Amino acid sequence: MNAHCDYDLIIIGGGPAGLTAGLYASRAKLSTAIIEKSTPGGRIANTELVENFPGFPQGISGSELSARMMSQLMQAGVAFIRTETTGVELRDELKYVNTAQGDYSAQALIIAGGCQPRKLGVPGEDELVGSGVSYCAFCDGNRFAGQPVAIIGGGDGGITEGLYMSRIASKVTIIEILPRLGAAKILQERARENPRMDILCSTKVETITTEGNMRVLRLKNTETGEKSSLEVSGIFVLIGLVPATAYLKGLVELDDDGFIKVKGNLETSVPGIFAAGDIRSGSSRQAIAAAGDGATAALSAEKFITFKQRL
Amino acid sequence: MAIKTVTVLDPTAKSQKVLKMASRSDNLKGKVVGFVWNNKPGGDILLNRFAELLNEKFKFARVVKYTRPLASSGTDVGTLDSLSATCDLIIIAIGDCGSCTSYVVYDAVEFEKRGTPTVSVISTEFESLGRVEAQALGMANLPMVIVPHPIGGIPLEQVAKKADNALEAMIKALSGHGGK
Repeated sequence: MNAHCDYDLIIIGGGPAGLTAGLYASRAKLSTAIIEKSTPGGRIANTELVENFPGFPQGISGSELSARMMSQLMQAGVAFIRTETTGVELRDELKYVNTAQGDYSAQALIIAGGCQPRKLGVPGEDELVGSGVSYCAFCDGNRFAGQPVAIIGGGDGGITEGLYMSRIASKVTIIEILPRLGAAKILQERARENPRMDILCSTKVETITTEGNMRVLRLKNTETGEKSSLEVSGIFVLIGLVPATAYLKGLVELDDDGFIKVKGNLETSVPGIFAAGDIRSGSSRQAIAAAGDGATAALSAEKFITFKQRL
Repeated sequence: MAIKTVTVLDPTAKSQKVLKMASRSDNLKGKVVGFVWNNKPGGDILLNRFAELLNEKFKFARVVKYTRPLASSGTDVGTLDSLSATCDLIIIAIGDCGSCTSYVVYDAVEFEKRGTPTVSVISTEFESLGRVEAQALGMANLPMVIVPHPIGGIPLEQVAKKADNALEAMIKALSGHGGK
């Protein structure tokens, strides 16, 4: 361990990528800290059932998977710092992570901060967040028990959370802007067979307004131009993710969408800074792929630190 | 011969922090008790029922109720300070999703660090996550009362019944013993 820095390795983000990186780093005997601003496990902790993580034939709840990953990490002795990262600086051949609790230094850094939900960007959305508009059905779905809801987005996230809501809400309408759903075929089949679910493809949301206790979606068919409206109690926006990289602009190279560009060993444009999981360019944004990235990034970071110490 | 100084460093990871929890009192009578609701459906019903049952038994000096604006963020520092200064004990509900469990535990640790004993109410589905997070934050033995999942989206009387069934566990968690 370098005597002049707080840790050998700091990992920003405690989702599957960060937790796996921490596990590998601890086994390499690197003094390691994970900085996470919110929930261990990240977005997966709010997933009702994870069915595509090998080793769990019946699936596993996202919270349980997160708890198991975190528990393994605790046993490995990795430090967990719960605070928000606000910046990263390079000084004296070290990496400094600026947080709300102060600065932490390390020889190498893995950025695994994941993504945030993409907003719809239509009038009315921001005003109704927390009172009718949400980005997590598993978190807020019970507010709309027995009432109609809309899910915006027909990808894996939208259909998975739509299926969850179909057990709570009176009716679930899936709204997808593209001509067909993008979710895995098995999820599409479940949605089409579900009597409580309706699917509207080629449909764009133009505005969200309030009428009495209801939220009103103004819709436009992208093929015919026909306009319509839909009254629901709750709206869940699940149209993809944006990387949490605002604080990294000017430090590491980003792609046009803001994801971090990496080499084959997951090193960024800055030596000793690695990126893993959903936040990196080219990620498949699957929990299992993020975990794999975490392992690769930690092994690469270990090589970087070992080489640096031999100089 | 020149003497060379060799610095020996410990190559192992730094050990995780262990924080001290607030001390508990056997005597719950006449206390000022805070009830922090994180805005999740059903959590208010649970807390109101706990307040009613506990107040009947222990004749609290005062019941303080606070509603957090969002379940997916923690209580602000000013409110943490002021509730901690006002209350002898604080009960927080409800951890029944990933983010909200995380922030219930986070708030509880913050209150404990300020010297106010807490009890976090978590649903069965999220017990593992709550406990591991408490450990990660340095309070592995953070008192929790576990109630059957779900809490939201079920009839209100069923939610209240879950508080009835958890009353003894709540008294034990608040006092650290059986409660007097």
